[in-house]
Amino acid sequence: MGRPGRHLIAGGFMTWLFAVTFFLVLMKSVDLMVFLVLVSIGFFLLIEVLDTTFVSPSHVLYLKYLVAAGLVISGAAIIDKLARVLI
Amino acid sequence: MKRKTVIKGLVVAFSIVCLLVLSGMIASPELYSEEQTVSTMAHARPVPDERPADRRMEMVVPAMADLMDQTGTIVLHVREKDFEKAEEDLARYIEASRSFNNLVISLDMSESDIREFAEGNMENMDALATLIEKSKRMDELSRLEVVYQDGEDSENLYSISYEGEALQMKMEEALTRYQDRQTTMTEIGTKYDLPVSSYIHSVSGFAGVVNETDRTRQAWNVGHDDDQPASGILVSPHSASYGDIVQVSGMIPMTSAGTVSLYLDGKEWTSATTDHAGRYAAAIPASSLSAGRHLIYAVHDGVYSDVTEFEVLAAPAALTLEAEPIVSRGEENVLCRGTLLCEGKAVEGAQITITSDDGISLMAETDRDGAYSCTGRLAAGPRQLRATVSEDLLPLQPTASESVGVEVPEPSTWVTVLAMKTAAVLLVGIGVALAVRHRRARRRSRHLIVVPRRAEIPPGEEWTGIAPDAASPPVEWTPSAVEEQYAALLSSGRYGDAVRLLYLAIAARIGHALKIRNYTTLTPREVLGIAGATTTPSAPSALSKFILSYERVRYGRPAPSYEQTKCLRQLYDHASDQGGDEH
Repeated sequence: MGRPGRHLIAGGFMTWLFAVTFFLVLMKSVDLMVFLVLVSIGFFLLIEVLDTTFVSPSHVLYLKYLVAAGLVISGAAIIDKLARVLI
Repeated sequence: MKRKTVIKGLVVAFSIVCLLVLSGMIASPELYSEEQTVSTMAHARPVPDERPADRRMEMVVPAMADLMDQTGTIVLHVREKDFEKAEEDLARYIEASRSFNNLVISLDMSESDIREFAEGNMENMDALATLIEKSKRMDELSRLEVVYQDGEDSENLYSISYEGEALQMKMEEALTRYQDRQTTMTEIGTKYDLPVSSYIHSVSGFAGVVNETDRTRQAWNVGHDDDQPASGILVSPHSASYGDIVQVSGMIPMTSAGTVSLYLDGKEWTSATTDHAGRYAAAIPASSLSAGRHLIYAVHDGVYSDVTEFEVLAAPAALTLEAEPIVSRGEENVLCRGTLLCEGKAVEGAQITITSDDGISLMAETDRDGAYSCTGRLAAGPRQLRATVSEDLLPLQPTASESVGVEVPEPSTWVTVLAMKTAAVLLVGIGVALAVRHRRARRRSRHLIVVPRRAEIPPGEEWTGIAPDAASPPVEWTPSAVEEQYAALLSSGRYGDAVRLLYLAIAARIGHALKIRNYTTLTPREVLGIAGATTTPSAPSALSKFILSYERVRYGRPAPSYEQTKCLRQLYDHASDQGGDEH
């Protein structure tokens, strides 16, 4: 099986995605922005787990940029939601 | 391998099944339905909103009954010539009508009966307002007539007689409108079981008031007689519409040049100059008059002309409306504009009312080009707007524009737009940073040593290999050469290469001393281990400090800094002093 840790991480991420989808549907609030925010959080955690201490492979580096873009979009979505509630 | 494939297949199949199960619920998830009778202790079944649609009628019908009931009181007060009470009742009636209209809009009553009742009620309101206003003025004229009769003031008698005729005409028009609505309103009232008797009495009372004032006015005409011959007045055309000019002309006999006052509907409207023969002419733009019949006569030095009549027809108009949302921090969130044309001609000064389906109305006035625009604040969400022009002062038919949809933004939209713009800037920044990083990495890769490809081995021949010294000429690691390269690398900011140089210098000395040719293939710890086995105990201590620090700096996450490089240089010097040079 090679490195079982990789499969655990992939399985954990899939479980996270299914859980997010399931609860969004259960709450009758299938919102793409909320989904994006939650997926970004999961992705961020995934990158943190994958990251190594002494070496920084290029693919991890580029994934960090992807996570940064996702967090920016998530932040904008959160500000939008807060503004709708507060204003 | 087979097990791995089976697991992958199971995961894919499970995912597809989950997506298929959830796909039906994503569009319209139905967690509760009428057929679902199963309930658990963890939740209560929500009570469905079983409020019947007729409940709204229970709220509207009393308001309709109240409106129909109030009309009789108003007419009764007018008939009794108690105009003060009539005006108070009318004010209450107008307020009740406004509340009723808002109620109909807020309850989203789209039934044709209710809408027709609301329209008829508004027309009745106008007719009753006209009745009170004209009756009050007619009452004043009646009293003046007695005064002038006693004073034998024939000039003013003419004046009030003509004004009374104009008032009578307006009242008859209002009565016609009021009577035309009677059938419809009575039918609607009967359908909803409303008390219509008061309303029916109001119609007959209205007619009674009009007949009474007509008799009074005719008595004025019979009462006065004059020796002066009446002068003629001509109007052409007798029927005009918006944009037409009504020409008024006539002749005052036995007069020289002077000024003639023209009275329209009992009020002085303009003046005209007579020539030597006493002829005068004036033009009245029909666009400035309301639709309906109008009376006009001329007065010169107390000499009254005949009264003549002309009619201004209400012309059809074309009203357009455009609406667009406004994103701002201000109160306004929608911009409306459009044009009002009547038979191709721009209509100026018309009051436009823009009504939204949330019950809010905006007002605007057309300019010289017939264009209007206004801003306002509507409830957020998809809104349907309609512009209407119901102009009493202009001869236009009641006209409405097409219904226009507009997505009114939320009050927080400006925050959202700001956040999105900031996010866009940040994303662009991230993209630029990524591009710069990628470009730097590519440029750095150009400095890497290119390993020559291994020579092709002819089939059947043996690989003899390449002597290390022949492949790469030996580097002279003299202290001066190391110092020179180190200074060059340090000045160019290549700290990583500088510390690598220090390590290679030490490793080269150890390799040279111990006759290890391939020292570059060894790891720093292997070099440290080999050196520690052959040197004094103190020397490896300094060397191990250098090697361990070198590993941290060289392979650590952040790039080597200037301070770290200088620190390593000190350790390098220390290691060289204590034993590195012995090798």
